[in-house]
Amino acid sequence: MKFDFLIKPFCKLVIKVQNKNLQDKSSSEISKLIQEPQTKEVGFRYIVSQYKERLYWLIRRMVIHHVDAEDVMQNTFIKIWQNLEKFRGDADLYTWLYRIAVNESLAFLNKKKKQQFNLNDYGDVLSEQLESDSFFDGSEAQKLLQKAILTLPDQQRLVFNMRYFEEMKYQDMARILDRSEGALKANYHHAVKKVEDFCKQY
Amino acid sequence: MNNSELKENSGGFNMPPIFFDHFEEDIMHKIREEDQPKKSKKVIRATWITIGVSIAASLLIGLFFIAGQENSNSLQEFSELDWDQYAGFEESWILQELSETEVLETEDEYAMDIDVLMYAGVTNDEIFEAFEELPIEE
Repeated sequence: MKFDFLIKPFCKLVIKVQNKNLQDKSSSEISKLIQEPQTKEVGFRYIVSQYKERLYWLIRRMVIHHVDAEDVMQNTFIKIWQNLEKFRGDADLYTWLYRIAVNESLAFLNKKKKQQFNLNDYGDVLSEQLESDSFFDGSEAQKLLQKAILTLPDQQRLVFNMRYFEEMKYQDMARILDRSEGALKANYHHAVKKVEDFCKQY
Repeated sequence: MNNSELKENSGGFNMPPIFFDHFEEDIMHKIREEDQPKKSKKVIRATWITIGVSIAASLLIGLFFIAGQENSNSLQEFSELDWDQYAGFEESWILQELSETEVLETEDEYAMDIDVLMYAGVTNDEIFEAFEELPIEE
């Protein structure tokens, strides 16, 4: 009873050490964790805690609205959970997760476009959503940049966001999007040109 | 405005401050939820199919039963009517026949006619009744 006051700090310390151990895990170690039924959930929770923010921003920049991003995030992590057994330790975990998030985002946008019956350019719809989004508080210049990005086709927008905002290497982008580095460079170059042209008009 | 300023604050986007607070728990809850409804959906679908098939079957059986009863009723009515008519016809025919026929001259001729009537199902009483009204010439 005398040492009750020590229990709480001790527990906190244990949790910190556990988290530290988890943070240091490599892709192969995570792979081992998720292959075992007993440790599958621990491995998955680690993936969620480590990659949720990065995946959120990738998805958010694609679907624009926070509520939509939340839906796509949920779908992405559900897909990740359902396909954990398929993840091979030799591949980069980050690449694998990104690929799922990209596919989910593009699938969501395609679904939305179909619901619009292609009457309007979906970029315009997203641009309107940006105006009304309570979770966008960027400057006028940032808003203009986002509107310019929304004029790009989805694939080009994806490449632009990955390169410009996340400063991702072309090599990593090529692995995620399954395209050649040359094609991605050309894509980004075209995207930058279009964005610049759009911004010059205003 | 330079690039770093444009990239600041995730390019102008933000999110609810508590969004990631219970994210892992929410996802695990969603996953468990996702696993469960699949089973119950199947059960619900199977139950609805069973109920649908049962209703359809009972409706069909009911329709067949009603149709069968109507047929038997009409058949019965028809046959009853037919027999009544037949009996009525027979009775009137007998009376008419007996009253209008030319007077029979011999006992043999009577006997032959009686045979025909009996063969047609006319009872003895009816024949006697009819004969009581007839003048028989000897």
